[in-house]
Amino acid sequence: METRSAKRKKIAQILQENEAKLKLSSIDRISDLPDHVIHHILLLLPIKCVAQMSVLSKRWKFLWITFPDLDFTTLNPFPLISTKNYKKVSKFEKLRYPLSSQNMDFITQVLSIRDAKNKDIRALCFRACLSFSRLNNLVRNAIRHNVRELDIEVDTEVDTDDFFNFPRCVISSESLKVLKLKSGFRLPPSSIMRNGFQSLHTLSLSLVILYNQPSLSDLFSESSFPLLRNLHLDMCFGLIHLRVGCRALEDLNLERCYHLQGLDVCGAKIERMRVTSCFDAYCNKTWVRMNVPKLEKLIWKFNAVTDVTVFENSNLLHEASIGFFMLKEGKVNMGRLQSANDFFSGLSHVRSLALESQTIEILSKYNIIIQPFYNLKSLELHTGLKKRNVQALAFLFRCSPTLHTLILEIINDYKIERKQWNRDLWSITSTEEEQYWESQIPSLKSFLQHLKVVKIQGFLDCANEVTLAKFLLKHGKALEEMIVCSGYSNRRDSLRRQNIRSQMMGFSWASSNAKVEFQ
Amino acid sequence: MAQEASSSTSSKTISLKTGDGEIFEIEASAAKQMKTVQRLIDDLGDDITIPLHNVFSKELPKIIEYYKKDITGEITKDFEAEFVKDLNDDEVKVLFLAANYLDANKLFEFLSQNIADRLESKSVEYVRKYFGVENDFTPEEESKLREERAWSFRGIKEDE
Repeated sequence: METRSAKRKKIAQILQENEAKLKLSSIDRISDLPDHVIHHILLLLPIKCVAQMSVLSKRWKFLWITFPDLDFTTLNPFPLISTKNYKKVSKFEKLRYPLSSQNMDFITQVLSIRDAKNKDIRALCFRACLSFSRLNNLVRNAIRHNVRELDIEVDTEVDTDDFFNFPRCVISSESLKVLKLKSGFRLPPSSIMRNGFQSLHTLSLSLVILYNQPSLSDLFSESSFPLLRNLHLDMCFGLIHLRVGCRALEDLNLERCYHLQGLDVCGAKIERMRVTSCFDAYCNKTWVRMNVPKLEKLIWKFNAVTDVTVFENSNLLHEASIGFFMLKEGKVNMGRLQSANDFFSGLSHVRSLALESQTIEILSKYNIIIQPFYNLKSLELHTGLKKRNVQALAFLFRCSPTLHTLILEIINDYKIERKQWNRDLWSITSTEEEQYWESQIPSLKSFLQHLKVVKIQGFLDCANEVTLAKFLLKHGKALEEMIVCSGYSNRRDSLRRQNIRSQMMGFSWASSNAKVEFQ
Repeated sequence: MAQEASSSTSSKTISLKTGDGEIFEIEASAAKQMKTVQRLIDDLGDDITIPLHNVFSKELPKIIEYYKKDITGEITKDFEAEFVKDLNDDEVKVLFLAANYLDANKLFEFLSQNIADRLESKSVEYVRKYFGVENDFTPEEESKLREERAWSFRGIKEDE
């Protein structure tokens, strides 16, 4: 047997021979690889590493000063805190927030050493606390380098409540394609912004101060921002009216615009729309108007029902997730009920619909007449499944004549006891709940003929879901699969679960193919 | 490794000859994924043994193994993790160079990411050795650069 050192010598010899062989053959040393290939690896590394490698050799310094993407956000992965709060933060936590104003100089320095010939930057991203003049300089510097993507999150370093002004130099940039700006800043007047951003395809503005121009009706008009495809507006304080009509827009995302009272969206190309936490229930004369014929996906959640809704039918609507709400107290507002109805009629072509519990509460409390959803294949309902919700459910089933999949997510509020199901009642066939469902059979004929898959989450053996499950098994002629996910956790309940399982297997089912699975 | 027997007679196989004279067989569909090989096939025809001067018998089997999985569509994260698990940094580098030479895009992307992951926690000196970079800075130049880049050298870990 060779000694280890002899073996090592042998290996070293073989390696040396191989090395020699490799040196003889052509382009196979990594350092001989063209710049763009090495950039390819470097682009996958955090910027800190790439900057460090610039000290390796002159060529590698060159690779750094021609490096296209300057993403400094990897330096401070934690969210920003402003200096206002900085003092309150513990010393330990301060170590996690390295990018204060003094340290921001290196970004300017990095920009300044760019190679004269290849100085174009593709992307600049950072999060920092700095003064407005510094921010403005950095942005102007980046624009001079023909930056294509700017992703900046800033907070004022000064201990005031003042806000930034929008860095106007970005508006006229011809190279800028993506702008994401998060800070407390004031937007310049529409007349100035409207003519700019000619190359922009993605705009994301967060923490915008709009008290001085609460109505943005002509900023996002048909003629503005000709290439804009994605628009994201978040926390626009003071925004009361918004009109969006950009011709090329495909994706619109509005969130946390708490003061919004009027929204007008008109876009021939809009495919995805998301509006959450806008529209306050206490405001009067709120309205929404949507003319989005190519809409495929809609998320509308945590918004109060507006006084007026005009929702032009979106025939291509594929998926919608709806959670609007109304105030529980006070007199019934007929205008708002009509408005909720109008909203539903805009959804009438949807194929997959999810309704939040607040919306189901509205349907439970009031009689809203909705047109049937003839295309609806999947319905997901989030509800506490209280007694008053049962009728709303039956109503929704009536409106879903060709439904394929029903998903019920039962929200179990453990503080409120729902009616427990007495296990002896399994065999009894005429409880009040059962009689109600039996009475619905004629109107649910189409629904029962089409329903194939049922999934119930949060199933406790309370009267309402047990009755419903039993009803669907007994009368669902096309039923293939029922999945019951119980909300049980402890062992005593697992006995109950076993009991339900055996009881559910006990009576006759309408569909011989059906399988029941307990999870 | 001796010549591998042709697996099936139904699908076309291409013969590849490595820089150190060994011959391997791959499926024609796998060869399509390696653009350099495909170009040579287009020029020389698929009956001739394709010479690959810059790929050697140590790495070609691994590459063939990868693309065998690729054409059956079975490449998963688990497979990729397993694929590189026992390779040291130099072996990955050699494979990467081969993938680049062969213009094998999928493998190239995957190995780029793997190299980046491996280098992320290493020191500058390690990277120098790894890429074989000769230092053409004077000590003064280098220390000046390091000072300029001080922000990036903050908080580095020790070499493993």
